[in-house]
Amino acid sequence: MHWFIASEVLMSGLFSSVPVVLVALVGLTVGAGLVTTAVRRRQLAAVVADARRHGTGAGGLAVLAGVAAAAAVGLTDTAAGLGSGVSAALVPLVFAAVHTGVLWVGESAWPRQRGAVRTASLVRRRFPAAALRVRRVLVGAATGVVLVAAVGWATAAADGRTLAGPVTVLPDGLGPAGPAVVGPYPGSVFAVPVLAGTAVVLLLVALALRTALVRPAVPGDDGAEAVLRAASVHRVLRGAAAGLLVELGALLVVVGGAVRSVATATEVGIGDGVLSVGGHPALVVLGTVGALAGGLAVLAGLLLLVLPAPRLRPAPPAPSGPPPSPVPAVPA
Amino acid sequence: MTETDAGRLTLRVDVTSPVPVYEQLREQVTALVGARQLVRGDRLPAARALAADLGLAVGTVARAYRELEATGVVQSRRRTGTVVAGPAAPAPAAGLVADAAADLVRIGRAAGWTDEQLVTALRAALLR
Repeated sequence: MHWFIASEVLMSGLFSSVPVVLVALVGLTVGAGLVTTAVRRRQLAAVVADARRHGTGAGGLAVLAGVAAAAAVGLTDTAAGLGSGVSAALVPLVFAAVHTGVLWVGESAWPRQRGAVRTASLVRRRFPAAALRVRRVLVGAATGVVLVAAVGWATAAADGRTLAGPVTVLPDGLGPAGPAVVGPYPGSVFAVPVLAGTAVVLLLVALALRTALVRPAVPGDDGAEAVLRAASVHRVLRGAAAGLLVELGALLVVVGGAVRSVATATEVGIGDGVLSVGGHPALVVLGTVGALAGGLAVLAGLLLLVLPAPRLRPAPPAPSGPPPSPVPAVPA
Repeated sequence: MTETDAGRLTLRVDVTSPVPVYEQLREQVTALVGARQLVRGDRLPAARALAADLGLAVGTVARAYRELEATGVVQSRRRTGTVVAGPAAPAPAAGLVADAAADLVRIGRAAGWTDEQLVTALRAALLR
C-alpha cells in the first residue's frame, strides 16, 4: 500500500513538473541558439558592446534573483501568517516583482557620458514598437488576474478559501443535502495578497519602464541605441508578463477545478437505492474549460520567459577610400 | 505641422567651457531653428531624457528650455512637451549678418577648415 501511495506521489510530481522541464529544454535550446548566432563583440563598436553587456548582464541577474526569491518564498512558506497556501499563490508574483526590481536598478545604473565634451541626439523617446505585443500580454494578464481574483473573492464561502455548492432538498422528506465545500478557492484569503502583489508588480513595471525610456542613450549609433532600448523594455515587460500569466493560469486552474468539483452530481445512497443529487453539466464544462485554459496560460507564461529580446546587427564596415586630406592650420 | 527628422540632429556641450552649459544648449537650439533645421512643431526631447544623454542635471536642461521659451523659440505644452514655436524675432540687420556668417562658412569650408576652426576665427574677430 505504501509503495502504491509513494508511486502515486511520484507520478503526480512528474506530471506537474512536465511544463517546467519542457520550458527548461526550450530555454536551453533557445539560449544555445542565441549564443551561437549572437553578434560577436569584435563586430560591434566598443561602447555598443559594453552597453549590450550591461543590458544582458542585468537581464540574467534579474532572472536568477527572481527565481531565487520565488523559490525562497515557496519553500520557506514566508507568507504562512496570511494563511495556508498563500505563499505558493504568491510565487509567480514574487518572481515578477524581484525580476522587475532588479531590472529597474540595472536601468538606473546605465553608464552615463563622463567626458568633457558630450553629444546627444535630438530624437524623442518613443515606446519601442517591438515591445508592444509583450505590453498587450502584460495588460491582458494583469486584467485577467484582477478579474479572476475579484470573482473568486465575491463568490467564495465565508471562510475566504473555499467554494460552497448549493443546498439540495432531497425528495420524500429526507431533508436537505449539502452544501458541498471545495477548496482551495481564491476567496479573500488568497485574493487580497494576489491583488496587492499584482499592484506592486505593476508599480515596479511602471517605474522600470520610465527609467528604461529616459536612461542615457548609447552615443554614436542610433540603430544600436534603438535596439538596446527596445531590448531593455522587452526584458522588463517579459518577466512581469510571464509572472502574471503564470499567476492567472494557476488561479484559473484552482477556480476551474473547484467549480467543476462543486458542479458535479453527488451520488447519495438512500436505503437500497442511489440518488444523484445536484449536478450542473454547464458548470462542469465551464470549470473544465477554465482549468484547461489555466494550464495553457501557465505554459504560455513559462514559454514567454524564453522569448528573445531584440538583437543587435553587426556594425557596418568602415567606408573605404582615400584618407581625409589634412586640416590646414588656423591663420593667426 | 511639418516635422523634420530631428533624430539626425545632435547637440554638443563642453562642460569645461566657460560658457554655461545651459547657454550652450540654448545657443545651439536657437541656431538650429534659425537655420530651419528645426521647424515649427518639431518636438524636442524631454528634459529628463536629454539630461540623461548628456550626463547633466535635469535642472540644467530645464533652464535652457525655459530660456528658449522666454525668447519664443519653443513652447512648453502639457501633453506634447517642448515644441519648436519658430525662430526668435529677428534683430536689426539680421539678414546682412546671416549672409556674412554664411559667407564665412562657405569660404572656410572651401579651404577645408573644420567647424572648430571657423568658430575660433569668429571668436578671434569678436575680440578685435
